[in-house]
Formats: sequence, structure tokens, C-alpha cells
Amino acid sequence: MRGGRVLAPAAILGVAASLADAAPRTAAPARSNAPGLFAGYSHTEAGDASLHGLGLSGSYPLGAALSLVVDISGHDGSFAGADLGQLGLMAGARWSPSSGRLRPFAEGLLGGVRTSVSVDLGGASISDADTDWGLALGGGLDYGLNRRWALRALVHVRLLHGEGAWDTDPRLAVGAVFRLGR
Amino acid sequence: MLAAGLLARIQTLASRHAFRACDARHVSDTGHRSHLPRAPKVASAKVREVAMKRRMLVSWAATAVVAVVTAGCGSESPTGPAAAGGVVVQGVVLGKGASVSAADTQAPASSAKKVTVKVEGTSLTVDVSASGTFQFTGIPRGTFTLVFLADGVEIGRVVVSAAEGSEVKIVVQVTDSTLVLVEIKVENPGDSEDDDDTAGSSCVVNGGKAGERIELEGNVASGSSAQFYLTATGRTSSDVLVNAGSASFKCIGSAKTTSDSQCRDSVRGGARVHVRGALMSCAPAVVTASEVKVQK
Repeated sequence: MRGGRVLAPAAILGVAASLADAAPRTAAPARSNAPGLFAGYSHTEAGDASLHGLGLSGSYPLGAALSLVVDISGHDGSFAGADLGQLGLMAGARWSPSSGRLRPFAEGLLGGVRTSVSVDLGGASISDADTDWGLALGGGLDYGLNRRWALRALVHVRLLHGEGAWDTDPRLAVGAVFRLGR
Repeated sequence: MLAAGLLARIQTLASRHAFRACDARHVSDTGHRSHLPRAPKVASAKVREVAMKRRMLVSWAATAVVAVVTAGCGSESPTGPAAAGGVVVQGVVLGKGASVSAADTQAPASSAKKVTVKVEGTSLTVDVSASGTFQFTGIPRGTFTLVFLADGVEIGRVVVSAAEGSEVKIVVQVTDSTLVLVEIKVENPGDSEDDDDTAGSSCVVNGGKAGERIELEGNVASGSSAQFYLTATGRTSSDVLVNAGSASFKCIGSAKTTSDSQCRDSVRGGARVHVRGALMSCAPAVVTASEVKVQK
């Protein structure tokens, strides 16, 4: 299971690389750094639990290659008979050196993740919620489809502190980007 | 320390790819190591540009993959996949802020203590993650004891009996210095959901079925408000273990108190209580309480 988790982002990035190679090199929809909105599927690990959900983010350019990013993610899943939900809100900076069809980027975000756990005991349920603070480091690749739309694959490593422990949780998201502006 | 190691590995890889990219450009410029015929200068520049883009892409992809691999290593269970077989234990630890759905109030924060779980008599140890999960694989079949520690101090034990290939799912709650067993399930290989339901319905304590709501009345035999043994009215066999760490407490009648903490303190040997909650198991009889009314 761990192997699959590791291979998944590699496969997605490989596919993105293949698409980039197959694309006509003269038809790159070059756009300058523009505000963008991302929505897509998101997967993360919360300690030992695998959670699935939705990732949303927005970016606003601060310069030619630098953008301000706000990232919201919601995941849920179950582990050991308990239902887990996780809501993350992070903000930070993204550096994207290229403006062609293929845009790699790196980003660093700070923020918090609220994890809720609920156990159904038949007649009653016990729930607990806790907010962990930390940062997310990662990067990804945008593949431009046209002037407005692009496909994105991104990988984050989230370093979160809570309950006296540090978690190093990977997060993977794939989806579409809509670029705003002219 | 883990984060520093992670960054160091990413930086090492990134710099290695950067070196290769620069090296490739140098080779292309001089042509000394190239077996291809030299192209016109404009075409050569385009080729170099494309090659650089591809190398950049590979560098980014590799960096991202290494980040995930490293993260995976960081959160790996110490028993590892190589220790497949035996018994798997998956667990969730709730903090002291956990609340039962029927409770009137919810404490705002959970325990910030670092919780560690050990399998007694072995070297298997895991730290509970920030999200409250832990997992063991490859525990030898039979009876074993999970020892829970908060900041290195033992707060409780859970004895488990499981067959080869079983999966144990356990939920506990950690309060300041106590451990409350909320739920435990042992799933044997070949068990289906239907089998579990049948097993639950065949097990009855004072009219209540395992996994369903139950109300009991009786006297506290021993223990405190977080966990106590109840000599239930109408039950002639062993006392019922009541986990009430997440329950709401009400003191009524002659037991009426002015504060919640006073009410909790009044739960001691001999106290008359009415317990509402869920029956977790029959042998031993364990109830997770959502409400405890102290009558006298």
C-alpha cells in the first residue's frame, strides 16, 4: 500500500511529462503570471490513515514568477473503525519560473489542519477535534491546455505538529486550473 | 530533525540534477563528447532550449517524487511491511476533549501529551501521530498487551487475544492520567460484516445487546468517574466496567452538588448511579457511558 502511494505521484508526473513531450512546441499558450483558481481531487495521509477529498486553491501574482497562494483542502476516510475528517487552510508563496505550456512550480505554505475523529458506538457516538499547525512544502506541474485552462498535478509534504508529535504527511492533488485576467 | 533530513535530501537531488543540466549544456557547447554532427547555431540553440526544458521537468518530477518517498519513510510504521503476517493493530487515540453526542458541553482542547504505544515483551513501539492514529503489523498471534504511555508515563494497558491474520481495531481515550477503552474489535480472517452483526446480537447484558444502547442502574463497586465497576441491579454475574471519561454527569436528589467537578468526585464506591450509554462487549461486560446520573 505504501508502494502504491509512492508510485502514484510518479505515474501522474510521468504522464504530465509525456503530454509535454507530445505537445507541439511552437503552440505553447504563453501567458504571463496571472491569477488562477484550482479545483481537483486530493489525497492525503493523516498519520496512518489514508484520506480522500477535494482541494481548492487560489493564486494571485506578486511578480513575474512569484504568487500568493491560499489553499483549502477537505478530506475524509476511516481508520480503525473511526471516521476521520480533515480540513486544511494554508497560505504562502509559489514560485513558477516558466511561462510556457509546461509550468513547474514550487511552493511553501503555512497554516493549520483541523482533524476530527468520530466513533459510532451504536446508540451514541464519541467525537474529538483538534487543530494542528504546520507547513506544507512541495511543488507540481501545470500543463496548459489553452489560454484559460490547465491541468495540474501537485505534491505536498505537510509537516504538522499536534498531540506532542510531528507528522510528515504527503498530499497529492490533481485537477484543473482556470486562469483569470486578460 | 526529520524535516531537516527531508529538505537535505530534496536539495541534494535538486543540485545533482542542476549539475547534470549544466554539464549537458557544456557538452553541447563544446561538442567534445557529442557523437552527433554539429548543427547550425540557431537550430543548436533550440535543441539546447528543449533539452534544458526536459531536464528541468525531470528534475522537478524527481524532486517531487523524492519528497513523497521521504515522507512515506518518515511516517512508516516501525514494524514495516516486511513484517507482514501475524496480527495487525490499527488504533485511534482520542484526547480528553472528546465528547459524547449526548453530552451537554464539549471541552475545547485535547491532551497535548505525546502518546506512545508499546507491545509488551517486544521491541515494537509506535508514537501516536498528530491526527491520533497508530498502527502495528506483524505482532505474533496469541495474547499480547498494548501498553499506552503519555509523555513516557504508563497510563493504561489493553490485553488483546487475536489469531494469525487478525486485524484488531481499537479506539481509546487518553485523559490527564488515565486510559479509557472506547471500542475494540477483533476481525478474524474470513469474517464478514454479517458475521459481526450476528455475533453482536447474540450477546446480551441486562437486556441490552452489544453495539446498542443500554441503561443500567446500580452501585459503584470501585473506581472513579473516568472508569468504574458497577454492580448492576438484576445482574448476578461479574460487575460491569463503565468507561465514563467522555460522559456528562448529573447529581440529583440527595446527591445534588453545586459543580460538575464535585459531582464527578462523588462517584466512588457505594454511590448509587444510573448509567446511559452503549454496550461494547459482554464478556467482559463493558459499557461506554454517555450520561451518568448520581442519585446518592
